[in-house]
Amino acid sequence: MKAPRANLQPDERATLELRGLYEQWGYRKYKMGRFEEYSLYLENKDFLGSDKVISFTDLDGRLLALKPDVTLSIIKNTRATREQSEKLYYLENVYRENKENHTYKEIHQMGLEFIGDVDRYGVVEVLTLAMKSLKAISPEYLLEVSHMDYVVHFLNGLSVPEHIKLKLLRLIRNKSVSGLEKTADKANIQGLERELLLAVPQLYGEPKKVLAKARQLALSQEMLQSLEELEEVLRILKASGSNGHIQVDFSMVNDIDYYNSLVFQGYVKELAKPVLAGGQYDLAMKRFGKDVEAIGFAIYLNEINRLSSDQKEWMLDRMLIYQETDDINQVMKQVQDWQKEGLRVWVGKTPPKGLPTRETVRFHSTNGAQKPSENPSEKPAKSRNGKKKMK
Amino acid sequence: MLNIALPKGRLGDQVYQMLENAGYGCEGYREKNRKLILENPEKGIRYLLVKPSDVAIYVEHKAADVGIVGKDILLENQPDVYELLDLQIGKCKMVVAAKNDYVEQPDRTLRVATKYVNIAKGFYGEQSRDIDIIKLNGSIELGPVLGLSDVIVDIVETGNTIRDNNLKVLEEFKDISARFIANKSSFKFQNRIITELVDQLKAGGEKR
Repeated sequence: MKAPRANLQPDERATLELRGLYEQWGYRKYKMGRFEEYSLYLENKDFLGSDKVISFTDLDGRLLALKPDVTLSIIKNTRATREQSEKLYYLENVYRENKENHTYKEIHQMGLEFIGDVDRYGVVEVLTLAMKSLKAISPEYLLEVSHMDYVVHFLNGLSVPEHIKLKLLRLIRNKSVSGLEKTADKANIQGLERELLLAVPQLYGEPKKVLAKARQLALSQEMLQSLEELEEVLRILKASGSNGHIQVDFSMVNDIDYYNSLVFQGYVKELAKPVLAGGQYDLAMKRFGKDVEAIGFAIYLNEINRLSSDQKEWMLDRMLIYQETDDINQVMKQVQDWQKEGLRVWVGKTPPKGLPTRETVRFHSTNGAQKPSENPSEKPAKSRNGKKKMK
Repeated sequence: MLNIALPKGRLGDQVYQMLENAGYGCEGYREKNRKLILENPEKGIRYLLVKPSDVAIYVEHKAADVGIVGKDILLENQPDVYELLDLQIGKCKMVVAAKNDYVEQPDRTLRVATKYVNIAKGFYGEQSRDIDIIKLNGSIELGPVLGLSDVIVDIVETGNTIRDNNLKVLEEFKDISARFIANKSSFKFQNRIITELVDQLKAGGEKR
C-alpha cells in the first residue's frame, strides 16, 4: 500500500525540487563536518560580514566553531584545479547571529558552487540554475545581476581616503542619493566623478536601458570592459528565455576583498528579503592560495518558509475512537481499510485537542464502525492523553 | 496595493500633507478616530499608522512597502532598506549635551545617558573614548541634572528643553531629518509606483 503524499512545507518542497534540478545538471552533493577551526572564520570575517560565531574548545584543546557558512569550508577543502573543475551543491545547517533578538539562530541553507575553470559558459550555467531555482520557489521572481568591477574600478579611481570609499560603498548599497551628495561635498568629489557617483543608485532596472546609461557615464576602459562582459552574459541568458525576470542593479556590490566580476541576488514577490545570493569569488580562492576561479550561490530556505504553505483545511480525514473493551484486530482492520481509500486516520481512546479533523467516528465492535458523524463538533470530554501525531 | 507606513504624530501629519498635495490623499486621515489602516483603492495605496520608531521594522519585513522615518532611527537600528529620499522636514540635530558648568575630564570613564545606544557607542568608539551607557527611554535631560550621567546624546530641534534644564550643547555631530525608505524587494516588484511617489515628493519638497 502506497502512502499518500506528505503535506510538505515550502522549504521541504523547494529542497526536493532543487536537489533534482542540480543533479540533473551534474552537480554532486557535498557533505561536510559540523565543526570547523574557529580561526577560519576569524581570518575571514569580512567574507561573513560578521564575527559572531558559536565557538567551543574541543576535547583535544582546539578551538572549534559551529559553521556559520558553508562556502568558506568548500573553498578551504576543494581540490579543484583549472583542469579538474568541481560542481557541487550542499544542504547544511549554519549558525548565525540573529540581529533582531541578539541570539544565535540555526539557518537551513542550500547552495551550489562551480569551482575550477569558470569560463563564460560556466557563468551562464550557474546563472541559469539560479533562475531555475527561483522559478521553483515562486512564479513571480526576479534575478538581479551586476558586475562589481564597474563600481569598484570607479571607487578605486577616486582620490579619496579608504574610509571614505567604504562609506560611499555603503551609501551606494542603500541607494542614498542625499548621503552621497553630502559625502561628495565633504570629500570634494566634482565634475564627471560626482555625476556618476550620484547616478549609480539609479542604475537599475531593465538591462538594455541600464547598460546604455552606464556606458554613457563610464569613466575608464576597465569600466567599459565590465559592461561588455555583463552584456554578453545577459545576451546568452536572454536567448535561453530569461526575459522579464532579469534586472541589472549596479548599486549591488558584495565584499570587495572576496568577490569580483558578476554578483547576483534573487527575489520573489511574496518575500521581504532576498532568497538567493551569490557571485563570482576568484579573489576568495586566491586568498586561500588556490589559483582557480569560482562562482556559486546560496538559497535561504528559512526565508522560503515564510511563503504560505498549501496546508489543507483538515489535518486528518477521520478520527477513530475505540474503547478498552473493543477488539484491537477489528480496529486495526478498520483503520487500514480507510487508509486504502486514501484517508488520513488518527486512532485513539480520547480525541486530542487541536487536530482539525473532518469527522470523528466511534468504533463499534459488533457491526463495525458507526456511520460517520459529519459534524466534527464532538469535543473531547477529558484532557487529551492520546498520542498526538503531527504528520 | 502599496502599503505606506506613516509615523503617528506631527511628522506623519506633515508627510501626509505632502502626499495629499501630490494627489495621494486618503479619506478619513484627519478624522480623529482610532483606525490604524486607511485605504485609497483608486490610487492603489494604503496607509498604516504606526509608532515612529517601528516604521523601519514594518518596512524591513515588508509589512509596509515604503515608509517615512527619522534618520536617527535609521542610524540607531541600521535596518536593511533603501533610503530613497531626504524629505528635508522634521529637521533636528544629534548632539552631546551636559550641564552648563560641566568640564570635560578625559581621565575618567564618561557616563552617557541616551535613548540611542548604538549611535552613542559609535560616536565615542571613533574617538576611542571609554564610556558607560545608561539607556533611558525619555526625559533624557534629567540624566546630568540628577547626576545620573555626565553627558547625554540626544536629538535637539529648538534647544528649548536643553536650555530650560540648564544644559548646554557641547557638540553637534549629525544632521537628522525625515527619510523616505523602501523595502528592497518591494522596490523591485513595485518600482513604478514607488519611484512615482519619490519624484512627486521631491518635486513637492522643492516647491516649498
